[in-house]
Amino acid sequence: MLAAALGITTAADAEPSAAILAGAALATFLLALALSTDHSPPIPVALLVLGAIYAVPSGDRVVAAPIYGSGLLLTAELAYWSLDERVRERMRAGVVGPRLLAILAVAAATIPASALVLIAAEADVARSPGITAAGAAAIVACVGLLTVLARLRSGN
Amino acid sequence: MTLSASPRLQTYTALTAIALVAALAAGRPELAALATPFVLLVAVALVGSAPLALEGTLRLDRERALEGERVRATATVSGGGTPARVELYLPTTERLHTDPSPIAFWLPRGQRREIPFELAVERWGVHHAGPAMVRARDRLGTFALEGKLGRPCELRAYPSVRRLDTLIEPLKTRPVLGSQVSRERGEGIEFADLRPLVPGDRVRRINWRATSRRRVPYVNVQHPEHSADVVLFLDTFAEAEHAEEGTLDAAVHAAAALASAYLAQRDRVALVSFGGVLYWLTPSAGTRQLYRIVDALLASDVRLSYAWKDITHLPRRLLPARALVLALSPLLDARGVGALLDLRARGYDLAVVEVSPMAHTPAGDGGSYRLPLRLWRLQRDALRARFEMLGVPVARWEHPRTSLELAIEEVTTFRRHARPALRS
Repeated sequence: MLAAALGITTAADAEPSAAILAGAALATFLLALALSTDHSPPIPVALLVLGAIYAVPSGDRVVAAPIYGSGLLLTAELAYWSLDERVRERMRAGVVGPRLLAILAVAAATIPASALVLIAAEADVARSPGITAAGAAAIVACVGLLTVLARLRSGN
Repeated sequence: MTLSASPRLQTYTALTAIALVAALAAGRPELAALATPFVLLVAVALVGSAPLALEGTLRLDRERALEGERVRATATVSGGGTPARVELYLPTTERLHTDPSPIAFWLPRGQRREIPFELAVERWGVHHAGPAMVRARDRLGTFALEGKLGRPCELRAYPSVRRLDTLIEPLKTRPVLGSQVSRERGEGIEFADLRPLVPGDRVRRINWRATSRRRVPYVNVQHPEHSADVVLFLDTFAEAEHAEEGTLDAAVHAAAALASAYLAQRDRVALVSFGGVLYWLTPSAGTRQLYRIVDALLASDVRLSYAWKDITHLPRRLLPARALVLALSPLLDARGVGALLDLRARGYDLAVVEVSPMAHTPAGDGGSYRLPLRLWRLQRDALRARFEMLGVPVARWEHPRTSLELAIEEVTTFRRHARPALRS
């Protein structure tokens, strides 16, 4: 539902809206497929489609990118959580609350962080191959750092 | 315990990489803004919390139980690391059963939770409960710690002992006070015969009516109440089993019921488990012997063995000369059958309760099974006839369709009409 809402809000302020609506429908379908078949692979595809329908059309947006990004994260987290809860359990009180609060807290915290990224992007820096290479290196370093940290943590 | 990262961390990292590369290539900062929440979540998951740590134990309220009872157990889980959502998978087997669905609860840091649950003891035997399996996830569900909790706990489940109304009476007794009416003559309650008075007879034993009729003093002679030796012979070479119920299961229940009934009337009872693994209990009386027998029955199991065993492997004191040997056998293995025939040849008072494997044999729907099944039944009939020709009653017990009392009654009826020739 969140994915459909994200797609519809994007379609409302972009041209042509038919392709965007189709993308939103596809993302919703993929999420529904993932949840009904108990398989996670369609979820990242759905997230990519939702990201693409927001980013590809040019022009102003009703929903700002930080809020949309936060919504994407919320969609992904709720979808993965649904898959985690597929096993029939005898659940004691107070199990759902901590994770829900943590997800909402992270989603809320990402809005100012994304806004900071956008503000930084507005800085008047001339585009050059050197800066592009530095950006690419920063991406590789960022992804590499995350991977190394994940491995170190799993290895404990 | 094994720590693993959620696959979604890799997914988020990959999505982040794609979005950032696309933002750089297309010069669209919005894409970097879309990727930022995912970067932030991964970063929070990696550095935002302490590692998961779990310890725990599994405890049963008691170590012994009766078949069919429920045993209370407690799983204790304590968390040493970050607060975690814990899923506890309780230990369950077909013979020691509990609800297999996991129990989910929230475990704050440094706290301990006790999860009580019940295990249903479905069958007798020595069971091992545990270890339980546990999975803990951190607050965001990004890391999971999985492993075993506690050590296996041993539970000895005793077979339920049925009360028997009838028992097979031994042909010979031993001269110790008991509840069996002996065939010998002496002092007792049951009237046996009359005989002329001899010096030393008590006056109170004179039968005045017979004396006045014959004009010579006659005295009453009674059957004394003696106890007997009973050897329960459990054939464990082979069994027929279907859907967790088999001939060995029935034989163990029958042995426990027979031991309880004979010991209750002050007889001495011995146990021989004759199979792949040979063990025995020498004859003894009393409640303690009942506990010994039931405890020994727990170890009864069919072990595959090609070793030829006969009764020479048994110690002599195990088989008293005047004992009733009561065999509980499916008559499936030639070694068990041979041992029984050998016992009869040595003059033992032998009775066989055949725990019929027919009830545990899937019914053939005709066709190719019909002929071999018929041949097998004919072979079994011939074997039964061979025993009966030797004066050994073979009562077929179709467990669970018929009761053990019916088989005992069949043995008693046979022995009433066809008494075996006893060893002089």
